[in-house]
Amino acid sequence: MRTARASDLSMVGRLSDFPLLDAVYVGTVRSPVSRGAIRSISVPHLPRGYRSVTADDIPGSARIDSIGASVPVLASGRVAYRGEPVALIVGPDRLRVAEAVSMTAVRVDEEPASFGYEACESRRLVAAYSTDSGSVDAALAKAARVVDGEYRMGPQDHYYPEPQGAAAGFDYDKLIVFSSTQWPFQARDAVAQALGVRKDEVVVRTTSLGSHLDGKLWYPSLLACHAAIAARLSGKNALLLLSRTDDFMYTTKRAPTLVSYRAGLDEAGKLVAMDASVMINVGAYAPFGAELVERAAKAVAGAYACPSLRVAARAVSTDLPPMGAFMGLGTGPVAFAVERLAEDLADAAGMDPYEWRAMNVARRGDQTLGPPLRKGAPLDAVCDRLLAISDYPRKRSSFELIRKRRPDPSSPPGYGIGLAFGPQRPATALSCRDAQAPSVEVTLSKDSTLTIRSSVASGSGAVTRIWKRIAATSLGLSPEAVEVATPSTDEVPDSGPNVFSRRIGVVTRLIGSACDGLASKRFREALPITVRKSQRARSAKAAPESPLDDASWGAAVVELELDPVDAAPPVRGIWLVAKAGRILSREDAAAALERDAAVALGLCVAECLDLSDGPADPGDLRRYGLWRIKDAPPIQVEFVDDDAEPKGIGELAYSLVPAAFANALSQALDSPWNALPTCRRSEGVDDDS
Amino acid sequence: MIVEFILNGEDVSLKADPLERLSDLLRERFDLTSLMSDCREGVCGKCVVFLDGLLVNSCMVPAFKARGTEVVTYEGFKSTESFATVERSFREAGAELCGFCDSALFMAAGSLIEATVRPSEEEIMEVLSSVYCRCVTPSRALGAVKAALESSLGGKYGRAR
Amino acid sequence: MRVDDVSAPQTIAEAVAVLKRQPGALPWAGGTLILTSRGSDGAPVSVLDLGRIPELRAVSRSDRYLELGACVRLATIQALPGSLALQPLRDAIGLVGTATVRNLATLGGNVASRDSFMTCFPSLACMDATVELRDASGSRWTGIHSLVDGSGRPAFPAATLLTRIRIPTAPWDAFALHRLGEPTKGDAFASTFAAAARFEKETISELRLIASGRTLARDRALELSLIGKRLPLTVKDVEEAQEAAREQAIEAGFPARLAERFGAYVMSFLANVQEGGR
Repeated sequence: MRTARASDLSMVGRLSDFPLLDAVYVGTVRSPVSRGAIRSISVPHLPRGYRSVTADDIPGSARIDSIGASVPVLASGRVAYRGEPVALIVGPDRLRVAEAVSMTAVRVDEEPASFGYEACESRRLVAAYSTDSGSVDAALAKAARVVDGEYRMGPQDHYYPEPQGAAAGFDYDKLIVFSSTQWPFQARDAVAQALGVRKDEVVVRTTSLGSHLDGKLWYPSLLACHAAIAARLSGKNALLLLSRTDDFMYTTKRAPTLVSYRAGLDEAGKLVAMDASVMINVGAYAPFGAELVERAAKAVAGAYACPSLRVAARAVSTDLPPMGAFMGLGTGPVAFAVERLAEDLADAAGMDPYEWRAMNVARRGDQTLGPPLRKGAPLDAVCDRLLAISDYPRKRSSFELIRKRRPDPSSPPGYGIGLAFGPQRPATALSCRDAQAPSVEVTLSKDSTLTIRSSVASGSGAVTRIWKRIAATSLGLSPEAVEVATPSTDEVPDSGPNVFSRRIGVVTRLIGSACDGLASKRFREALPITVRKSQRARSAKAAPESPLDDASWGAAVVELELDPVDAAPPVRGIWLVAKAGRILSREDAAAALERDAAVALGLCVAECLDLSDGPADPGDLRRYGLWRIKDAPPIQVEFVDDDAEPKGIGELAYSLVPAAFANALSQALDSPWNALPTCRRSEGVDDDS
Repeated sequence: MIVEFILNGEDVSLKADPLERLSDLLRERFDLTSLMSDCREGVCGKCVVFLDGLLVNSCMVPAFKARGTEVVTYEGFKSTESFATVERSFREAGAELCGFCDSALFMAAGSLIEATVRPSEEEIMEVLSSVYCRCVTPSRALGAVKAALESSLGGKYGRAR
Repeated sequence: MRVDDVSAPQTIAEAVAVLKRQPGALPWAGGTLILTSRGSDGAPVSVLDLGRIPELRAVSRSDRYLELGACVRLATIQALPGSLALQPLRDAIGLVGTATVRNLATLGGNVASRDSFMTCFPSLACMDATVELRDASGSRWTGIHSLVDGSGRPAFPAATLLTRIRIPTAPWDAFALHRLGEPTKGDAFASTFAAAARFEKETISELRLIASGRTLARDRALELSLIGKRLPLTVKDVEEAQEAAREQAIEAGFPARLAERFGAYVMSFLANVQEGGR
């Protein structure tokens, strides 16, 4: 066996490639039931070199702080979901560890479990956010038309390119942890907490992230704790790798969300009031609960002006595994809901959907979300181009004629085209435990190489190229002379979590600023020179800003034609237009949006998971249909020219494509389609078992 | 049982359980970590290898089926002209990959270059879709393969250089 | 599943001899179905590896038939010349797994499944395929429908090898193939609908309407009732056919939703036949 110290492993790309340097494997013993008191954990006799780890063996804190929640490292006393880690088995042979895990008996006095979230008991409510402006009840009472709608988005899996895991090993007194995490400093803090050591005694190195759909914000920290504890107790490098099945069953999923509206229109079709409720199933422990409800609540009105708005967003804890973030952290399902509502409102007003949006879009000065908007939502700028390239107006009219004039009203018209418009909020901080001041560092060395350091360096090669180009241009270097350091918490500053397009929206700007600072010092100070730049937190005395200020904006059109027999909706095309500040690389941005649109569409029609009766099982993974790149329809992406600072686009497709798709499907069926994804496991499925 | 086959141009022999998956053998016994052992059901495609010239999911090949065959993994493929063509074409097409599926996608593209019949666009996407990947932009991947087909030098898979 | 031993005969005769000695031996062609359907527990089995028998990989053509060895890979069939009237089978193969799985999976493995009818079965049934079966008592050719028992379930005989599949290559004037049910959409088993028709002097001269999954649904009385009818079929004929197909599927044990879908596909196929077919 090769041997090396963990610290010598400067870069591990994939966790599954972690060198087996006399390492131990970590297997997880899990709760067999969803809720109850642990009566006993019976571990089989383990050979020499193997050991078990329970909560009693955790050197530090038995719980870690995870984005507003306190999550047990290993369950003790009680279990809160089926699959919750209760113990670890650690040993040198993977198969023997797996065997020992399967032979370990966890006995729990099972209690009735609850998985529903739509009608919430107060004791299950873990986070809430509400606003109330104007006079909602009075406005609804006077409204010419009142429309009610309920819109649902089900749980979905992130299906990471590599199942989650972690690796850890000691380098003298420092513990090096390898984690595929969007937030290495959060993982570091969690591990330090679990080991009861100082933060500077733990180093977290980020491995390749791959496509994560924002699922790697906190769960990797829990796995990092497991690997770290195993390394600490065994004195060896430790590797924990979930199987695909375990990752599917036990790691976080998109939190199921129900959005209900009652909205009122005046005679002309203007929105006068909106009463909205958002219910989010956050599973056990509810990390991100507060974040999800706040972001959901602020997205409820979408891009529209509404003088009287009441929102109640609630996160409900259930006995499912912890649900998590998905792209947009709570805004995706709400964006779907509000854009479906827009279509329903247009229909109620007897208006074309685009015209309704144009009448109701939030203009400059709008105060629907509190502070006045500095700039209005750019519906015209974005949709002028979108409607032209998609031919939306003509197609919509034609499809409406087909719908209205079809000879057999009982069969669906079959053709649909849908529109959606909305924002991606600016790359602001997470409301809880984010970096106080996201920072980057740049160092110009004597050999004229420049090194960029940031904790969010892992990820898109396109963004890395942009950083290199900006830095090189600023300092008159060639891009080949610019390196981006591998994120290791002992070597890079805390740039916060890699979320909300932070890499483009915040870090790029800081790099530019830091390089400017370097340039001014370069010929006055001796090399090497390091400049650090941080984003200052907004002063509490500064005037409050609308959440839509500095947003990036986009619109999407989806066209489809139904299969005449099974009504499967083959999509004929997707068109996306975005206005997102100065686009640093049009080609890369267009490729990213096209890819996101394809994935977002796949999430609409496939990737079904039903957790209403309980957590996922291996059969659910088998039934989890994955869309392939061959399934992607033609996708056209364009950008509207914009001189503003670059903004993120990473969430736009995920917010817009589902709504545009559902709007198209509603027209094609001549019936509202208010739930995604479209495939449903339990609805109408015959019992073949 | 004793399993003997040609691996990346070298004769190999090892003792294995008849049902041990070729993907596991390649990763664990030969340290060929380019392929990933993920779904183990022929769904994700990250374990593809060339088996007697055909691109297959190695997780679906038990050890006894590998006897007497010629296996080329990504490590072997990398020394071929086809790899150079594919890698360059993906790079020039801006078909960015995430680092997890690269080897499998390159092999899939390589299998198209080596095919005796020029594939249609539909066939290209069908083969690329053997690898489940959320990272690649569909049109870029298609463009990359088409460019690779245009510039390929042809050639056959055989023993790696 | 655990494997006790593996036999790797070089000829069909050797393979049959193994089966005679070990009737419980598991024939293994591509093995893609076996590996995905069996768990790691259970009694050890003996495997009969069919991969080294050249006759089982042979493809031969005559004026009237295409003959495929049972171990011919699905990808090989897809790559056969387009001039061969194989579209119903090609369409079915396109629904199986991914391209790389089809490089491993074999036609014989798809046909000889014992738990349910796999994707290629209804197409082959529509095309009146025949199969060669070999066991200790000899070999015989039989219609593919002999692999279906009286209750519409798979009935592949024990201790028997499927060695060849023969497909008539006379073209069909109209055919259709659709997924009828998919595990990824909530159905317990994948099911497939296949239909084919020939016309002569504006009448239907031959007709096949088949759905299969865990069981097989085919109403020969319905098919016969439509043969000889002039095209286009009347609305009444089409609607009656839809209802008859749906009832047949229910009788065959299809879930109501899939039976409904079968009826709808039958109706759609017959309605399209009126417009000139495919």
